[in-house]
Amino acid sequence: MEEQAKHAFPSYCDRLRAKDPAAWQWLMGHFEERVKPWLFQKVAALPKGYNMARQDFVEEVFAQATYKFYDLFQNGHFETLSDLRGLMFRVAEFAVKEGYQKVKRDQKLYFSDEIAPESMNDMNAEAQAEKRKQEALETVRAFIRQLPRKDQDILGLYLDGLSFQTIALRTGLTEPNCRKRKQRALEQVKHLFFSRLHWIAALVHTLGGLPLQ
Amino acid sequence: MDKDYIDRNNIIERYLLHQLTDEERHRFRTALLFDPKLREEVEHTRLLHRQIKASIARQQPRAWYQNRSYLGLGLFALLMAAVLIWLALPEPSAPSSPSAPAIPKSTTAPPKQPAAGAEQTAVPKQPAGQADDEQRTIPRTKRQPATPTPEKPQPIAQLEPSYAPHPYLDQFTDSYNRNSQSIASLTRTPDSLYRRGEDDSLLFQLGGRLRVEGAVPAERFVVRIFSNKLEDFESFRPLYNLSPAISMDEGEPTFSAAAKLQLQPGLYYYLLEDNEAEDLIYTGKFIVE
Repeated sequence: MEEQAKHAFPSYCDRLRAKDPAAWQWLMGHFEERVKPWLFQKVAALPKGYNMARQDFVEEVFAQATYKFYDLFQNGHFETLSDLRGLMFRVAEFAVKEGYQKVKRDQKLYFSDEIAPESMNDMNAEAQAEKRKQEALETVRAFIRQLPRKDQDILGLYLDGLSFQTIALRTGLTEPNCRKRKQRALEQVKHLFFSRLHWIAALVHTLGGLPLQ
Repeated sequence: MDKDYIDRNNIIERYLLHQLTDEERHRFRTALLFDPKLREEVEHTRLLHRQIKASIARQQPRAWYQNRSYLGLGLFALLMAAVLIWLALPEPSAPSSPSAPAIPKSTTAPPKQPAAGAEQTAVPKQPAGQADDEQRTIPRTKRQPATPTPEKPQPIAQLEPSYAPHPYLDQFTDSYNRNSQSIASLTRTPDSLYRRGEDDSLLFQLGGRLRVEGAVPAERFVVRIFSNKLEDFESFRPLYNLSPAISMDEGEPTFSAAAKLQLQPGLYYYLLEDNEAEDLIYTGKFIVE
């Protein structure tokens, strides 16, 4: 694939336009090699108060950049592989700025105890979707509060990326026990969140609001 | 990558926790490009993970030293204790203040007669009516006999500062960072970690197998050795930076770092880092006796 992308670019580009998974997979790998290290350099440190790790932030920005790239690629004209790379770098640079704003906004909207701003009462589609998410996340927050402390610890450590071996050492439980507790707690939270998200969406739909996503 | 495969293999969760292999990740990224619904599901799961983490963090009580009000209260209490101790301390035996209570003359010892020929300098004879001056000659210990204080218990053994655990690194020692996908195993045996050489140097050895596909650049990994001092770590002052050699062993890339170190006795930490991903892979420690 690399040979084709570098030396027979028009045919490679055709494969991309035809949504050939192999061609896109190679391109994703190529961007990961070239663009992601650059993103890590660009995002030296997250501002104070952002409740996420740097790696998570970079991954999210990179993912958003690939979506944008995919949309722009459909209507673009490219002659070489470096044209594609150039577009991706530009998109990624923009995605970093957007990423900072998004994290800030999410922080205010979903992860703070402040009351939702007035604009959330608007009937436009975006505001309704936000409200839906916010309500579902509030249910999750309430559920997490009633989880046993050990389960909370395990869930927190697991989502921080620690291995079950380390989690077992930290909590004083056995590894299979930690695994089971995490599985059970996470499944419950997921079910609660997604069912709530869809239930509210269905309610809005019934009341003549938005179409179901 | 179809929906069934994604659900069965828990791909979304593993993607968000950076646990997918390179091939799986590229395939999943491609699937995300083609499927906006899947994108939305990933975004919602990402949001859910963040909410769980934020809720747990909010639930956890902060350590007392992280709480500003407690810190203020603690400082105030410390200040008050210092003032009380200062007030309770006996006054110095040097000239006492004029407001000190007068002591009846009858209790005072008669002034010592100076030896023949000696100058009367220490206890000059005072004229009558100068009680204040007279008090100065009375040793404090006579007025306030000191109670015998019990000897302070001495600790059986005290840790030298150079052997004290590092406040930050110690909690991560002998643990892998699961975020990192690049190291499959780490060959590290405590007895072969270092040996004292003839020139009083230490031979440090660290090696392992890699899970990386394709060629690995020589500069990709680095082993940093830090002292146990927090300020050295915080100011990024490693004592040594070692670049491990990359080689192929039975078709698998392996790395090995070895160096002669000149170190004073104490506790040291080594960090294996991935330069490319800017990621900490493994933390260990060793003692130089």
